[in-house]
Amino acid sequence: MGEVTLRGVRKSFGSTEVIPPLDLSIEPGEFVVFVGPSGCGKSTLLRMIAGLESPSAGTIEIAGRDVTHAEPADRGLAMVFQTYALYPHMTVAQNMAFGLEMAKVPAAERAEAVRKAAEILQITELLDRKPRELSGGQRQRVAIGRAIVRDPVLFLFDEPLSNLDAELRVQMRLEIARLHAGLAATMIYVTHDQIEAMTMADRIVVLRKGVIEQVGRPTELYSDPDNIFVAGFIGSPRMNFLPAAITGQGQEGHVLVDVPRLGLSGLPVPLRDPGVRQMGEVTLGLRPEDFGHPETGDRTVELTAEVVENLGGTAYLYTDAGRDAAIVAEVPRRALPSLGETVSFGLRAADCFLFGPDGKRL
Amino acid sequence: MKLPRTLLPYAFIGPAILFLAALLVWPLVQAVVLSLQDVRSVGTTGKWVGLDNYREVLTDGTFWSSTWLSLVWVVTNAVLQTVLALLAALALNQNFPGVRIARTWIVLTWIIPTVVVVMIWRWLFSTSGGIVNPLLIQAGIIDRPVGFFARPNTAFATLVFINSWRWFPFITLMMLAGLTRIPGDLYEAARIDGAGPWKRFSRITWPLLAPTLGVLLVIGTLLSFNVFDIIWLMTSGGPAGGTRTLPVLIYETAFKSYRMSEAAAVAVLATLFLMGFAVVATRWLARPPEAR
Repeated sequence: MGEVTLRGVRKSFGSTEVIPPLDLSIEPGEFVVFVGPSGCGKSTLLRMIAGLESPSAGTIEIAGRDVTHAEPADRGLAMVFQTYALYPHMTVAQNMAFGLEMAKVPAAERAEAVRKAAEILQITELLDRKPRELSGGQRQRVAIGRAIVRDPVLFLFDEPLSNLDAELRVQMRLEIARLHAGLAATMIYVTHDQIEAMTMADRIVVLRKGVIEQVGRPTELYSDPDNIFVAGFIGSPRMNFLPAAITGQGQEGHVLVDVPRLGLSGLPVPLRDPGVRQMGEVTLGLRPEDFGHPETGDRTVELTAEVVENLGGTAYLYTDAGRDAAIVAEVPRRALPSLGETVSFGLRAADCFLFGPDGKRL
Repeated sequence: MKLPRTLLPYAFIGPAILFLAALLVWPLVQAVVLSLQDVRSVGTTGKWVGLDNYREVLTDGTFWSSTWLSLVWVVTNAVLQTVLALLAALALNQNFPGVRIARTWIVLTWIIPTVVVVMIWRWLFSTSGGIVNPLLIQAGIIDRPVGFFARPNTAFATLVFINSWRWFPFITLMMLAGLTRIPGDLYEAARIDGAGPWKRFSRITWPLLAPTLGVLLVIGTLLSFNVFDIIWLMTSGGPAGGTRTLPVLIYETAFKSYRMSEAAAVAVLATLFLMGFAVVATRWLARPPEAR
């Protein structure tokens, strides 16, 4: 089936190395999301798997076959582009059947495959239209339909939802997830939107500057990030990072931490690896949603509401708003603070993450 | 004073209409008037002869042979220029070292003054000292020097070649603009769909370039029909009238034979041909691509 194995894959353009040697295995039927900021190499990696870029070194295997130097069409994959890349002079049906036509599949079989795919995506009534007569969402469905028709072992999606409005994005997200469940094909999905990554992926690959920062299930990346980059990238609003200092060793592998900005000292924070001996300057990470009711935590902290963002279902309090080191805390919508009000929160030491000066998780 | 609302648009376009009328319509009317008189040379007057000049022209074999030559001239130029330009545009649309310099330098033939073009090609094609004959002999295509301008057919073909060489860069640039408008990801999608280089050209580039080609065909036809300078400087319509297209015939009749009114009649007829072509062509271009 559609397992994908990358071994020592490297890409450089001229003297600029955009992806240092990288290894990655994707299981058959898995939905893997490559996520990272612009320029992190996620699209380049996807294009190398597609065969649209050739790697500078390393091997790529799809379904157990070395396809490093194979033509895109010979890799048994289909790709959905960010711009949809529909042929503007062809009807929807012709667009969807083009790949089969190139593979010299008889016309009757092509029509049948197109009809089936169109039914799955509910675009049967659009088959005779040209792409310019379709809305953005419809074009996206056609692009996905074109991919389905080819019955590939591997689907590649290159930021397919970034040109859609917010509502449609949510809808298409669900549809792609439904499609994945129905087709049981391997899917690799590139996005810079961590919400898409969190909601759709079986596994997420977080990339930065061509390097894999962490691979794991969405909940793993959220609750157990390897480093400050992953911790900051996964979760919205992003994790608060506060300057802190380890002042001593506590019990059961805990360290005692001072966090001047929260007015805390001697907070016993658990270490990921209790064997680590680290003292001095560190960064403490705390998610906005981990600021709890004042009576529930280990310690109480007080924050002044400089800005309150009310999203309807929930609200966020900002202190030092607009600065790099603003602290964000989620507040219950039923207890919205007024501007300038000081609010008390309960804080559990177990919710705190510590990062060393090199950004690695302690 | 306040203009009624319905007149306002006319007030805006009025000056432009007057300007165009003075520059285009007035000379045309003058030409038509001239063609209905019997004027021998510039500055003289003649008596009213009605459609006599037209009768004269239309029953004259020279007019019809020139019309035929003009037609062949337009078609051969269109074909040769399109083929040359398409090849050049496809090449310049690739990414290779020096492509930007190549894109700039290709316009060179187009910006050289016509007189210089004629001098260069006359020398290249000449039987004494030109390099075309020795090259063709070396390649084994001919066994002795050919006087390219000595026979009607070779003179005509050579002129088609030179004129196409001069004008294809212009068409190339227009095609390049059309090619760069085709999104690159269509080709990537086609590669994933299994389309090889030929299928990518025939199924994507060609249909998407067709609207641009249509426009170029119309512009190219109008431009090459009216070419006079290269032909006159090279062969003056000879040998034996073998390159006497309609513009050359008009010039000869007016300024060599001093039959100004007859020349005007030929010019009016040529204008009618071109107008007919332009009307049909613009209507064709205005239709949606799939209805063409």
